[in-house]
Amino acid sequence: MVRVLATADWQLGKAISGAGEQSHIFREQLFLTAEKIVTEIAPEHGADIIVICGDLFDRPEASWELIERTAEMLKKTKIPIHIISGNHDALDSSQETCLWKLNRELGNQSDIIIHKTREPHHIENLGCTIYPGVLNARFDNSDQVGWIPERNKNDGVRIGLFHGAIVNFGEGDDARIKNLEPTLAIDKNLDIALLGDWHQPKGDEENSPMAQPDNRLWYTWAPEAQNLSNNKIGRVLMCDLEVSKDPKTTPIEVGKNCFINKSIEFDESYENEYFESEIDSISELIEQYSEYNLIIRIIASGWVKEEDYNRLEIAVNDLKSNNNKIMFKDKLSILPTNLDKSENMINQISETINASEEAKEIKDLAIKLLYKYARQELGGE
Amino acid sequence: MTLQRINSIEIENFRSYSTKKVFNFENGLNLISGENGAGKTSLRLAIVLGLFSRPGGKGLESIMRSGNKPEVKIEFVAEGGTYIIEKTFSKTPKDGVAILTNLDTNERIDITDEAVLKCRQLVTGSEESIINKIDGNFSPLNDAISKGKSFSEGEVTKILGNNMGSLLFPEQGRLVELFETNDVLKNIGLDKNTLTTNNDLEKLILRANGERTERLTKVKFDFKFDLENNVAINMAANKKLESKFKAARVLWESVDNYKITESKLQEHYAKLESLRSEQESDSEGENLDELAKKLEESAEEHREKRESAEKKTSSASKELEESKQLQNDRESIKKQINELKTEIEVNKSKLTSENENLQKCEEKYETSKKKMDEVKTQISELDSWIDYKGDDSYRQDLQTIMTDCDDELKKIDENNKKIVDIEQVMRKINPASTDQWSKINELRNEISVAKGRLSPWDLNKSNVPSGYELKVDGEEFKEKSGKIKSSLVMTDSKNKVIISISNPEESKSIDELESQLNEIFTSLGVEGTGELRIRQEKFDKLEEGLNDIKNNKFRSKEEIERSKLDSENKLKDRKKKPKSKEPESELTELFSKRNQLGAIQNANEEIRDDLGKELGGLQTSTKNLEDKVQLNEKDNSELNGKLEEHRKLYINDSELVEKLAINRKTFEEAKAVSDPLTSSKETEEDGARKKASNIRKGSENRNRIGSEITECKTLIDHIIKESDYSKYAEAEEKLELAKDELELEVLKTKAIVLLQQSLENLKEDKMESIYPVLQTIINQVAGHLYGNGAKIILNKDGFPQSLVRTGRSKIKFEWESYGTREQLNLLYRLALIRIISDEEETSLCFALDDPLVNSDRLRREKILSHLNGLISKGEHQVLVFTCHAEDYTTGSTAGTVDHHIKL
Repeated sequence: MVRVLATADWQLGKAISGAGEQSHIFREQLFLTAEKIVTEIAPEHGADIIVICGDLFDRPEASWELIERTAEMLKKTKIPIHIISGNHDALDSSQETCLWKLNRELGNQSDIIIHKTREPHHIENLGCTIYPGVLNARFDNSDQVGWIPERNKNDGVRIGLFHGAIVNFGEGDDARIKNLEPTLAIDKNLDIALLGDWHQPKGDEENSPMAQPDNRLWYTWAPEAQNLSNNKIGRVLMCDLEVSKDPKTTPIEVGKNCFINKSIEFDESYENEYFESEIDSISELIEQYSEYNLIIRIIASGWVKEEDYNRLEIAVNDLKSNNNKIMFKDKLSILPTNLDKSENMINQISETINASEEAKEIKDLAIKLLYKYARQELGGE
Repeated sequence: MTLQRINSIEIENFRSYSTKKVFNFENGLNLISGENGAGKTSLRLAIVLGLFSRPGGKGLESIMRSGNKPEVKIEFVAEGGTYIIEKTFSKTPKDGVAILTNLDTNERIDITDEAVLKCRQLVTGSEESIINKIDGNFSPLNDAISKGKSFSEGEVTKILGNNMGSLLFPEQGRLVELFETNDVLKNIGLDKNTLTTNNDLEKLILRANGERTERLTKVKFDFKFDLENNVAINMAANKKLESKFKAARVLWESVDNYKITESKLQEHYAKLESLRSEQESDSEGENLDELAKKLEESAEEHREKRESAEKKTSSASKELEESKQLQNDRESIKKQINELKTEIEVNKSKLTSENENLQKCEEKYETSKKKMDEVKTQISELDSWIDYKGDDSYRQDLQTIMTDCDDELKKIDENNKKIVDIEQVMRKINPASTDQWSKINELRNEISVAKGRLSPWDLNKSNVPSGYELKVDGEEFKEKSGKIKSSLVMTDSKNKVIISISNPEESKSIDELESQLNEIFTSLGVEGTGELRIRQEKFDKLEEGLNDIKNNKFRSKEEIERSKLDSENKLKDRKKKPKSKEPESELTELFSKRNQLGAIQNANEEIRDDLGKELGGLQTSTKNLEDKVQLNEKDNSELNGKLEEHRKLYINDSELVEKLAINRKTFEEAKAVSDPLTSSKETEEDGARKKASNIRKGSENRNRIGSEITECKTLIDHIIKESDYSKYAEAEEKLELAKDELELEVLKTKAIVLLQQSLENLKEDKMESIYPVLQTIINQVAGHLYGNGAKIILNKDGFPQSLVRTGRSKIKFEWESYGTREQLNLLYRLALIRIISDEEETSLCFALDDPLVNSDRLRREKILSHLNGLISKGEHQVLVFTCHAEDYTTGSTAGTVDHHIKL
């Protein structure tokens, strides 16, 4: 049996999106968690080998400072490490990209192998063979799988490492076009296919098209969340593998970065309890994730009474001032309300504002300001 | 709610009032009259200061008297309650005292400032925001109202402000001035509570404007930014936006620099990679010199072999080329001969065809010419016919003249014959001559005259006895009565004349005359005038006929003959009828036919021209072709000579072919040997030599590559360090944050501008809603006052702008007479008061200071009647101050005053 710690998409050096002024903390955490995986998680769980399925670095031109630091970090473990390139750190032969540099920095460290070509790598003492599907360019559409030879009795456990997509996903610059078949492990008689590139499952992992246990295919997922849309805690995958047996995999949460999108939707007849409970739940989340680098993005939408909007704003400001973990995405509209004597006038002004042709968010904000000014200038409370 | 009523006022030590004086006011119109200096102004001022002002402050000297401090105590109704405000005035602010008591609840405010403000709130109903602040923060209020520290009389208005106070108690003399901006107007609307609403609206506008001006000096809405292209629309209008944009732009630039650095680094990395691969491929052999020597020797050997083979090939090539050249020359001559032959044949055949063409063309030309002549003949004939026919009418005219002449001659002859005949008949008739006629007439006249003289008498009731016979004028008379002309003879049976009466003279002359007449008749062979007259008539008729005939005017025969001859001569001179066959067509048709022929002629001429040219061309070309054929034949014979000469000079054709084959074979054999040697020159000689050189230079080269790699790495290190490359991610994160902030600020600015605009729009809408009401009310009175149809036009702020009277042009308010302006302002003020009281459903107390002093009696009466209507409808209390009491108490105005206080 071989115990493999599988990981991918460390994206070291990545600019963190959506963490505001805390970004640097989240970015530094990428490195700290990587270090923790190599120096703590792997030995503690008795891993025989660590595989990194692409995108160790975020940029092919990662700074040497970071490369040196990474090399030093990797050297800290005695466990063999096998690295393949991903689309972010592709092994472009015409450029000295980050992995080439890392390779030089590592020098004669024979236990850390950066695979540069697609050829089987047999590890005699572990009784396994690694099939590295390295990427040679950011958009490498070549066949990552066809080169894998048929099973030989000396291969031992056949472990495929890949970086890519088994279905289309994403948009814009990050769009991925399906370039791998979900059945590739079966097709190529691999005991497991370990994949990088997708950082997190969308929604429930079990029902995700990326979950292919029957096909002996596993995404490792990123060890750290890297932007607001990554709402899950990062992990690594511990895999116990034997020849021609289904792999036993165990996810281990290792992430410290925690992005939560907290939606609060008010319909026109929401109850006060709902409001209270939503405010409370935010405090609970803060409590729950106190050990994490936490960003809660409150996305409030729907129609809310003005006094509740005011309360919400105060509550959010309180939360913000106590720690720097709250972001407030305000998509709320104000319900026509009772503001003492000026009720009628305020409603009239709101109507005038709403009658304009500006964007809804501008009109909503103008109405919110109106209430604020009215409260301050006319003393509505 | 505002001041509804003043019950009473107590004044002591106030301006002209030294001792305590109490005035009670009633509902309705209170007239306060008195001469100048009687104390009207003091009373009015006491009310204003008592209700509105702080009791202490510099500037109160004008109301001071020596000795005790001025005191004013007013009992009034406001907000439905009854209050007493008591004020003791002092020059020193802290010494002024004000106490406000609610008589309904006995609640008493004796903190001076609070009492003053509460009182003002009650009286104006529009000072809430200030009042509201009393509890929390009093000190700014001092500033707000203690401008009164140095107030003088005129400044009381400033204290009142442009609000309700100034509407109810306007500054003295203000009525005839132009209205200034008056917030009262802004505070009126149609909804209940609008006063409050508008106050609030004002505050919100102020706030929104404040927030906006913090950002923008002008209202702008379109904010756009593009960090990449450094485009910022209206960002500079907003300090916050501008600074945020600039900050974001700086970050963008730094991220962009990183990107540039990134691509620069990529280049260097590529170079580094190529250096490394060069370094790796560098051989590391031993016995380098020997290896180099061997390589150089083999290169030399190869060179020798190659050069010898190449020489042979070159010489064979030369010979081959020479024989090729010879054959080429000969073939070229042959080719020329053949070409020339072909050309000659071609030209000859061309010549034949050209000759045919020429012939055809000549034929065509002749045909065309013939046709042309035919057409010309046709035209000429046609022309002569056209000429001839064109003369037809003239010729006919001449013919007619000649016929006419003949006719006339004939008529003359006929006439003459008729005359002879008639004269013959006439001669046979023998009428009386003119003398005879005159004699006859003369005699008849005389007879008649004689008979007239023989005047008859009447024979009446003749009763001729039987046996007697009466003869009258010789005839037997049997009638009972009758006339007697010449004689009456009665005879008896015995024929004895018993009576005979006669006129014998006359009878005798008549007989004579008649006998003369008969003589003439006898000579003419007639019996009497009747017959003679018939004869005469017949004669006259013939004579008339004769005269008619004689009167037929004819030219003389000579003249006619001459005319006829003339025409005959002229006819002879006319065109002769053409000899050709006369065409049947009309002249117009002939013309068109002529035109057609003309067109045919023209067309034919063109064709003929073209044919002529073609003919000329063909003649030239056939001549040229003939020349050319001759020339070519001459050239051909020369070339044949040249060919023979070439054959004599060199070998004949078959020998030449053989020689060429031999030379080619020799060349190809030589080339097969030299070609491989030549192509392997680069590797076997140059490559080997270079390798040898490289081997010799090997260690040196490795060192160079090594140092280049070091250099490149140093450069990369330098770039990374210099550009702070490790901060790339951090800069990206900061840029993202800055962009978010910038977008948020744009949103916020837009929202503030939108809010401000919406508020102002709403305010404007509210103002607009007042106009119709104000306009209606004010114009109801205007019509009454200035005649039907008179209108007061309000400006956009709602103030009277001009007055339009029926049939007169519009006059601007400030150009109106003093009296009219006074009236307009009063009406305007009354209209406002009416609107407010209607809306608030409250009665009001207001003062008028000699309001109609400049108005004529009629208008004054009308306005007073309007005022009375307003008062009784709204149960208002009005205090009218005047020095013309009689204006309100005499004449038709008597009875309008409810309470009269004489000072």
